[in-house]
Amino acid sequence: MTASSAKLDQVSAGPRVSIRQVEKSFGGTKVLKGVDLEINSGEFLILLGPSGCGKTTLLRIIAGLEKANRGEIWLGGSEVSALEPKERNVAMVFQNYALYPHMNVYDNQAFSLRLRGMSNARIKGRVEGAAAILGLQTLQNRFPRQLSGGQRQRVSMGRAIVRSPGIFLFDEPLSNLDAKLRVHMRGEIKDLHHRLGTTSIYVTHDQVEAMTMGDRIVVMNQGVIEQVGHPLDVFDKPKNLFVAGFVGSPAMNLLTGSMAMEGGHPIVRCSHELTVPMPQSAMKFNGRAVTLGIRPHQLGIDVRGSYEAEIRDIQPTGVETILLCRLAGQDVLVQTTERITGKAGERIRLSMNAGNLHLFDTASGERLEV
Amino acid sequence: MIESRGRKSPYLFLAPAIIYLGIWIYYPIAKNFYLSFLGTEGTHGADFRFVGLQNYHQLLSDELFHRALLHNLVWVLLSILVPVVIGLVLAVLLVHKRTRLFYSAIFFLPVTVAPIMAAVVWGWIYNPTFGALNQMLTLIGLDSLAQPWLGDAATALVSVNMIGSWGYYGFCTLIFLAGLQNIDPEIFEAARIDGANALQQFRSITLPLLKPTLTFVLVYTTIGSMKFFDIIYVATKGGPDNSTQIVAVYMFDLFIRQGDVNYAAAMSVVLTAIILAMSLLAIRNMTRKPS
Amino acid sequence: MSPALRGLLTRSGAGFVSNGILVIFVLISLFPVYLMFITSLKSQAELISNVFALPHDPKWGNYYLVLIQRGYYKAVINSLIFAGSVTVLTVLLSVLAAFAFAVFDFAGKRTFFVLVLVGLMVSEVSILIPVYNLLKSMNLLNTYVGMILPQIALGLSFGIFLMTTFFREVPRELIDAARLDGCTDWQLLTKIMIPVGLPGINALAVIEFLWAWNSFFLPLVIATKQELMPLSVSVIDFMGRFTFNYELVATTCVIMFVPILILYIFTQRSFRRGVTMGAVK
Ligand SMILES: Nc1ncnc2c1ncn2[C@@H]1O[C@H](COP(=O)(O)OP(=O)(O)OP(=O)(O)O)[C@@H](O)[C@H]1O
Ligand SMILES: [Mg+2]
Repeated sequence: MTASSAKLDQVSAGPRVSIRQVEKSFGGTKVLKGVDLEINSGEFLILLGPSGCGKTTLLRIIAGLEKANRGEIWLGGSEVSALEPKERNVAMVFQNYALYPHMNVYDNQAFSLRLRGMSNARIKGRVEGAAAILGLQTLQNRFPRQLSGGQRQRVSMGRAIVRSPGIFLFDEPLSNLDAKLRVHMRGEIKDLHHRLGTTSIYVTHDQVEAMTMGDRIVVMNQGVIEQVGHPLDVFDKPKNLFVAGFVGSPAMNLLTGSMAMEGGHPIVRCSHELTVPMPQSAMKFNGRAVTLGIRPHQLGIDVRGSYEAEIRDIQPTGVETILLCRLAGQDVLVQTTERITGKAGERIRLSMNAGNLHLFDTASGERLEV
Repeated sequence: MIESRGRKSPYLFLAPAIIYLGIWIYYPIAKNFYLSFLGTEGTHGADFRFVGLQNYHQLLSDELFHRALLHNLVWVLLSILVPVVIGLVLAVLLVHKRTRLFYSAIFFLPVTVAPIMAAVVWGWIYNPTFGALNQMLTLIGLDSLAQPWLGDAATALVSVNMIGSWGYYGFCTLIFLAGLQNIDPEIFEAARIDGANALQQFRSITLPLLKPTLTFVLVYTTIGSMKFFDIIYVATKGGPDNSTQIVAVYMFDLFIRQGDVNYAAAMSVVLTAIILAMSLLAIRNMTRKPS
Repeated sequence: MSPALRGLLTRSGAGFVSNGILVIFVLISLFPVYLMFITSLKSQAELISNVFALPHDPKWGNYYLVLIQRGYYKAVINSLIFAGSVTVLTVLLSVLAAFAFAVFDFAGKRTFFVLVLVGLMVSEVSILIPVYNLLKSMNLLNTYVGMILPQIALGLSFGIFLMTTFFREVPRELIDAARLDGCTDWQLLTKIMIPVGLPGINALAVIEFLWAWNSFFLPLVIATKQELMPLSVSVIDFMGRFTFNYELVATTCVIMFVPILILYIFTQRSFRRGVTMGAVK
């Protein structure tokens, strides 16, 4: 950290954010259906969900750019639902950067400070501080059209941090960057968060970002929050079928079947040739239609395995190999670090460990604890 | 979109323009409506009194008004058949040419020429004694076709319309060109791979995808044709023998020369109503989605 | 003939026809303008004997005669004042209204927009009587202000429509960013929308200027005093008084056209944008 960047540092962490019963409709369609969420002071929260589920809408409501039809937004102990965006001390970083095309890099960052009537000397200090952090020193006189995607991304971060906002909202900020730059910027954003302690909400589609960047992750679907929790908790104990299928890449295998008893032991019967024994405690679900979940990396390739499958396709990525297999009439993915020499059409045997199985109620989608 | 949440500013930004239009457009329309129900005993300045629908009755039996209206409709048709079609053809010819900017810039030049100037210059071109058109016809041995284009009731309306068309096809070309360039060229590639010839491509791809543009041009042309004034006023003043009389020129004549304000007001109400109805109908019909 | 060769020939045949059509329309587009220019440089005697060709002995004196001796330069000044003021004020009103339409959501928006569009459909001749009486009651007949005020209304609906289309093109995130950065609505307009929408504003300005410069009807009725007449009215006035001096009438036409020609040459992109934007989006 350089001396000048110290000017940007925050003494205290950003405010706590409370989202209470927020609903939003566009025309006749309900986009947010009663969202409740508590975000701790200084937390880095990940918002994950399929396209169109309402992530951007939620961010815009927090920022005050959009008004909720119902519900309240609280920032640091005060209700802000009626406040204008500029009164909320919130900064947002957009997917397409949204830099002002008619201003150079310096002016893009100085804009908000000028509007506040800050003196030119102080503005200069702040902008230079941000430039030092983000490596923008040599770009100050360029216009956005003269910058690469990664540079624009930095400027839009710079524009956000010079204001020392209480809250950062990131809307898929890295999705337009190439893979390498994305990894680099990910690190920088985390770094920045550690340094500034700003409460941050970060929308992403990227599984790795979701797992690695946040303190907690929020999984949204069709305008409702499906699960909130520590990334590994969500990964290990998905609350329902949607989360199970959405979090993790490649996605969890989901096999439909029904709970039955065989010789006094509970089993899941997926088809007459595929039955999976379950712990005794699963007896209570006898007779239910259930879905069995197992992550691709937890399906073992094992000559003594109990399940026979046919290889449909082999996708070696170098580090690992992903096999698409047909198991008792259902498609499953197998992820292994071994190099597979087989060919499509060959048969292999798979094993699964009972401790890695997830059980869901097919009708409600809810997780069943065994 | 910024929700207003009781904020006044959108109304404040809108107010100047709406108030302005209120004074100079809506108030005059309303005033015309009012005037159209008044009448005088005949001459300038006599006392006005309420005469009910009398002015409208008079319109029903005014053959010159009917002719003028008919001429407006002919004008609409001609303006669609000539400049719009020419514009479309030129745009189709140009869209894949590298020289399209050059050509369309030249075609647009007549659009920048004032209508009154076009009327003056074309008046000379049509002139029976020294006009370029007749001289050209004589030059290529078609002197039998030479005639007083604007002076003969049989040719005057079409001839005047050609002046308007001259100042309009470049406008259409530019719009169609932009519309065509908006169509993804890959669609044409796909059609060519599917074996569509040029005509089939035009019918099954260009026209449907150009529909919004076409709608705009047709509505714009219709409105413009119904309001037409400058060129006819300068070139023929409605003559000869009322063969180029159109509603706007007739109305102007009533107001300026005959001072029949109330009758002219009734006419303007009818004209405005017709234009509104035609535009609405055109927009409705052409934007209706195929069910 | 081999199929390949035949294909080549028909293709070049089609190319020949299409190039032929284009060239013909180039000639049609340019000929009247050419005629106007050459006529303005001819003598009376040459008008009939030599219609098509360049003048043998260009009479540049025609311009001196018309501009200075006949005092036509005053009409040039009038036109500049008239068209310039109309353009500035129309653009101003259009930008304000379009900002409201493109950026805000408010009660009655659709109704207001329809109301604005109605303005496109009203003929200037239709509203003449009330407008004339209004100006008379305000003592504005035969004044610059009286010519300018109603003329603005004629181009305003188009201006609002066009500017709204342009402003809608500004990405929503840019507006979001500006609001988060602390812009008031007014600052959003002046510091973001206007600079970003400048190409659109230029496009609107050149079109409104062209229309005002070429407009004829309202000035004809409102400016009956010669010292107020803009070029369009002057040309017709001049023609009425010098009916058979075609070369001088042509000179007045050229004087009226040259400024527009220069504007057109230097702002072609703006013209193109202005004409096509409302139609294609
Ligand atoms: N201004 C608007 N008017 C109408 N519908 C809207 C508007 N903004 C968003 N929507 C709709 O609301 C839903 C949620 O949109 P939102 O942008 O919040 O999704 P998202 O989760 O951010 O998706 P993505 O991951 O693709 O960015 C979508 O169906 C979208 O079409
Ligand atoms: Mg989004």
